[in-house]
Amino acid sequence: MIVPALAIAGSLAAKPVTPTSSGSFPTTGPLFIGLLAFIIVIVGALTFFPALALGPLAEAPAGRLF
Amino acid sequence: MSEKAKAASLFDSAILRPAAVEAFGQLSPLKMWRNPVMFATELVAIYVTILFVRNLFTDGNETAFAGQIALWLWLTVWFAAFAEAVAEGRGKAQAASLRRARSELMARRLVNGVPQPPTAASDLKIDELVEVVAGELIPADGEVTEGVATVDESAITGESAPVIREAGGDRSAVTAGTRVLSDRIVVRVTAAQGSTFLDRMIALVEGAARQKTPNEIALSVLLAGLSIIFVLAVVTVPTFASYANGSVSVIALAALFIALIPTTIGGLLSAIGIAGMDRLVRFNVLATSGRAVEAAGDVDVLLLDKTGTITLGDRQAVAFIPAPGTNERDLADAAQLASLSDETPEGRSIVVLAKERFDMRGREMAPTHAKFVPFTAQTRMSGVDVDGVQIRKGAVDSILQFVSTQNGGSNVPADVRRAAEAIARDGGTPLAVARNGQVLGIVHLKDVVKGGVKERFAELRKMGIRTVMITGDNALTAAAIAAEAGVDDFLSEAKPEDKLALIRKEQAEGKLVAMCGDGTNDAPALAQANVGVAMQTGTPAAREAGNMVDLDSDPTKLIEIVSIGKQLLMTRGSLTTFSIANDVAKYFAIIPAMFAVLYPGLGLLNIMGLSSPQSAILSAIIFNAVIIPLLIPLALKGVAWRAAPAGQLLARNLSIYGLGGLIAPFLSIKAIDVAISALNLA
Repeated sequence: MIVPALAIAGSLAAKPVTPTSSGSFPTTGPLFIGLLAFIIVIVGALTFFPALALGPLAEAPAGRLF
Repeated sequence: MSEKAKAASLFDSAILRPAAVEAFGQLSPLKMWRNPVMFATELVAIYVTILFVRNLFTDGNETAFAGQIALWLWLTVWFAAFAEAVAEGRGKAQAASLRRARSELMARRLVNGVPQPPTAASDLKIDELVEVVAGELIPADGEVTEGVATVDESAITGESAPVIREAGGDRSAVTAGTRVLSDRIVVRVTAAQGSTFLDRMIALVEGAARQKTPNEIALSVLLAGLSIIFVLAVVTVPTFASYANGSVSVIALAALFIALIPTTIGGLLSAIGIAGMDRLVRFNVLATSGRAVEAAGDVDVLLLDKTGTITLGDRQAVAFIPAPGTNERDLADAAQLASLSDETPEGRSIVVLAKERFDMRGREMAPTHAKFVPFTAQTRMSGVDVDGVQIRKGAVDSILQFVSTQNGGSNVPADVRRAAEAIARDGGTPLAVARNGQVLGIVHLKDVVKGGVKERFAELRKMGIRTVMITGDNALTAAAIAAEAGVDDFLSEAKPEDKLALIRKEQAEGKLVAMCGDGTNDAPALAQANVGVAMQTGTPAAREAGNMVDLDSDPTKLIEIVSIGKQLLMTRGSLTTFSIANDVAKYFAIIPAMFAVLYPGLGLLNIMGLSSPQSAILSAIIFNAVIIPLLIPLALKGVAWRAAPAGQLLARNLSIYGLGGLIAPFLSIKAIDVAISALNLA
């Protein structure tokens, strides 16, 4: 798993640096933070929702939570 | 073209019907594999179809359900192919009219200066000479080597006014399929048949020469990555279920997988790209690759030539500055009289200004025995002799010299000299007016900045794009015009090498540069720029070097090209966001339905209150399929766009397509579910 991650890092490092302007996406501020957090939550939830549904969510209504 | 006309052509049955047929051909897995998401969908569709057929014979209990799911999966794939076919169809319709222009061209070759009998243009080879006379069509792309002619290029540009093409200089390029209206020219063929400008244009708009652009490849990789994640999420489900001593329907799993993978954007991806190209063509700009369109959307710096782009190109009178002892009206009167027979733009603008300021009408010159003295390069002035009165206007030095020879060097008011110097300092051109050896004053001529240009540059600045004006003027003049036009920077006394150096410097800072040009000396800079827009009237060298050609030869279009590129990128982003956000609602439909038997308690998750497990899964799949054709118009037209900083645009599109993508499927799936249970389909 570490090899592709390193490959991504290498590819990113080789990219040219682009100066920021009002035409570039601001990576500071609530919009970016919100968007990043939301994407992580959504993609994470989409990946684990089926497992979650079969486990904790299925047992919760039956009163067997934990 | 108006918005309305565009919207109408979007649903033109002449395009839709062939597209619907062609979409079936695109279903072949050999063609589909280029698009990983739709390829996966097709594989699942094949699998579910096999299950359906097996159930037909084994009398399984899910036959009707499997059949419907298979049908909608096939429709999903077909809709995606249809979207692409519609986008290509629009390009083909355009190509068809171009192709008509090319059909059956004849050429008369010149061998050692002797004209040969006409032969088919398709036999022409590079560097052969052909003769074209008035009334004939130019048989091949080439360069005029001899003669001058007016050429009707409306077949290519749609512009009805004929243009002049002549040997040498920057207006020597001619295009196959255009008609010579007058005179005779000799053309050296520069492109072999099959690779002429027209051929390339047809191939491009038809989508035949289409390759995936870097941005499309990146997005495809992202979508494929997401699909792989969802494969893992789905294939692990039976294991979890078996741990809970249950089993899951294979069809439900297949449906879950299709609902999760981003089919919406996967299906529309190529249509968006083709439509972006098509929008440019409709705008009379041809891009040599989709890559150029994308680069236009990311441009940071625009290099604009002053003349023709920022200013009107000819100088106009803006003020009368009288010498001491004369009044403005007197000066205007003399200047007008001197200009009435002067057909240059400068002369006409003086007449216009005199009318505006003092309501002076044009006078009838014939009865006054006026004698017009035309401008010559030697005298550097023009004027009239009316009833023994000599009126002259011209460059300040020449007029002063003229005056001194007339009245033996009477003192010229120092104020006049000072006014002339002040005008020159501000980037204007002073024009002195004299009557009978007396200097009346100065007319201020100015290179007038085009209306609305300043606002356009302000818009560009909002988008984060810097504008740089390129001019051959001296630094003072350039600075004055730059300030008036509101450009961010200027390059004065620019030589072609300076342009190239400036582009290299900006690129070294990591910026993307767009520029337009028409001359052969622009070719290196056009080739170096990330987006090089060559003018149709330009030389073949310039057209080869650039990656776009503007058929209208309007340099201001660079600004629209940038917005079309930006719109293309934003449309992709918006539909990707929409597609992923849709997954949330699909989960809430499918997961409770899948485990309804195993864990009835999960019914709590059925927040949409869908009627039955099968209806829930079917509704999600139907929504998944139907959303593709519903979004075809958006994919073809592009998302609404205005000039604003990236952050603002993103926030706006996120609220529409992100939030909308979360909410819309909940409502739609519920509506489809109501319809399904009403029809007793599941």
